[in-house]
Amino acid sequence: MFSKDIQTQVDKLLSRYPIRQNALIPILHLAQNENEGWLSEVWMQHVADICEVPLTHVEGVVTFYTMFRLKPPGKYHLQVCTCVPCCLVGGTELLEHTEKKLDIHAGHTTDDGVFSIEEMECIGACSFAPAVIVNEDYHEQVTPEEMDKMIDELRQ
Amino acid sequence: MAEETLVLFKNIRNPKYDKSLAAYKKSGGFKSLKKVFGMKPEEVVQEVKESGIRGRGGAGFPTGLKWSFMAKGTGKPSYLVANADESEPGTCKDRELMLKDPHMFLEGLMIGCYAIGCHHGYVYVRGEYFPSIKSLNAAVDELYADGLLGSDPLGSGFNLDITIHTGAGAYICGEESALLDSLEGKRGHPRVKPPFPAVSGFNGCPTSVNNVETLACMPFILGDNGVEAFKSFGPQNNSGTHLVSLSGHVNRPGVYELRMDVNMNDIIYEFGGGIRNGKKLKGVIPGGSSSPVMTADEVDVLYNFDDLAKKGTMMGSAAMMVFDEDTDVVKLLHRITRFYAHESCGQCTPCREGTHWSRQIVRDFLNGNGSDEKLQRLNRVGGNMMGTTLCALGDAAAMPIQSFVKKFPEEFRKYYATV
Repeated sequence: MFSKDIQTQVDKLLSRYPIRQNALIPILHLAQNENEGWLSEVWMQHVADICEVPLTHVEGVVTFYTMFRLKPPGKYHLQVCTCVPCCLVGGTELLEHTEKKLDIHAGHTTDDGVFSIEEMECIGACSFAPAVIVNEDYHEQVTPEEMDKMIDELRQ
Repeated sequence: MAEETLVLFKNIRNPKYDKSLAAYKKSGGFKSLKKVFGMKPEEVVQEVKESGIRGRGGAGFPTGLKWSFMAKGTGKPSYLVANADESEPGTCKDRELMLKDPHMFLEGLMIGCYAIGCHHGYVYVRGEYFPSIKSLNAAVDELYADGLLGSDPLGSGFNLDITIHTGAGAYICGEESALLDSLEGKRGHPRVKPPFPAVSGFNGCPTSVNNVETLACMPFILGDNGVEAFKSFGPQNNSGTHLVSLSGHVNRPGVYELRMDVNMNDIIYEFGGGIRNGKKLKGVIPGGSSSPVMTADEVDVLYNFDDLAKKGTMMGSAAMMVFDEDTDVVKLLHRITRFYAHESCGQCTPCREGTHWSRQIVRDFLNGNGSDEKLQRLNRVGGNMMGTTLCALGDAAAMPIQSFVKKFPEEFRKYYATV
């Protein structure tokens, strides 16, 4: 199921751990990336087979960690931090602004599938708050105006 | 103007530094590792003990002592795992090291591996730290290409591998035994202790889990006169510099490398440039969201493990969150309780239930339904989590609750129901 390049990465990962199960979480990340940002049962079964664990174990792991998703996110996944330091300097307001701008609540995806929003617990950018991760990129000290600009640019 | 003391940030503060292996070597990098390879592992542990370094992840446990607990002669491999799951609200120091000078940290990790006889070190990085993960992987690739990792680095005869492992979003995985479960490919549930990881850790083998900043100190400590110099940066039992993540309502938030005898006032007003918009200070959460809050009149204190403990709070991961006079502390506490309710792993009843109950009670206040009875109940829910759980998350959730209630009771009264 993995493309050839990614299968090479999977094999490399497996070689780095004493037992196959140890590589489960990194391989789940690769699977999620291969499947447009979410994990279907078919993919979870595939990873279960690779790591030689039951599907139920994989489901238990997937539902424990916030980064694994059971439904597709938007093309641009906006992860807005509202935890303590961000909340002190406008993170909550930034999240509300983003929700209004896109007309969806956190945890949802726009109808055209372009944007999704997630409210984050501390993302470790506290001295550069409020912070947002867009897919894999950090954006720091983000104002509502900058958020608008970013969304407009990404939409094009 | 107060100045930083640059040990860990000596390269990072150099605008010309490009974090490549060549640049790190040029700055004196890997000299300590070379020296360490000529020592006996127990001599390395002894030097680390003598430096007095205490873990920078939050607990402040002496690192040398931790390494000396590693079980020997078990016939099993030993492991060193770097805890890079930096998730304590307010803390953003390890990511600076991993992003901007990964080789210093990796050299420290390699020194640690040699000291405890570990031939494969793991770095458990939180999954959201995409830029740090890329930076570390690139640095590890450079080390393999250079021969510093793999078989027989520097002619030492000591084979050494390092693997960068990504987590997937769970605060609890910063707790060392939960981290090990996660590294094994499981849900991150803290374990019953004993046995401690030094006896039974990763895959049941002796393991030491150490914070990134702690390990990044090793090249300095094991360098020339490192032990004495390290001790000179702070009062007894609080040696070294430490990275302070300063956030909240200050003019210049940032990560600063400071001596351990720095006064908190200086951190806020000199390094942080004072409270923004000319406001007055109301309080500080001094060491990550778990640490008991301090009021404005308590902050004339040295910022280190022992002086803060004497004040009834803790330095934790050295994450200072500063808030001004306009801050609604009930709302602030509500955000903190939401965090712990979200992050409780659910294993122990007092924490699983208590974190949600406390969030609900604080929300009740915000809805204008507070009362004396509810304030006492909130305090009691906190008390029922203290020391009643497998890991410290219960305590971590209880300490802000109890300290906010104690230090700012009048703020809660604003939300009492009017009959």
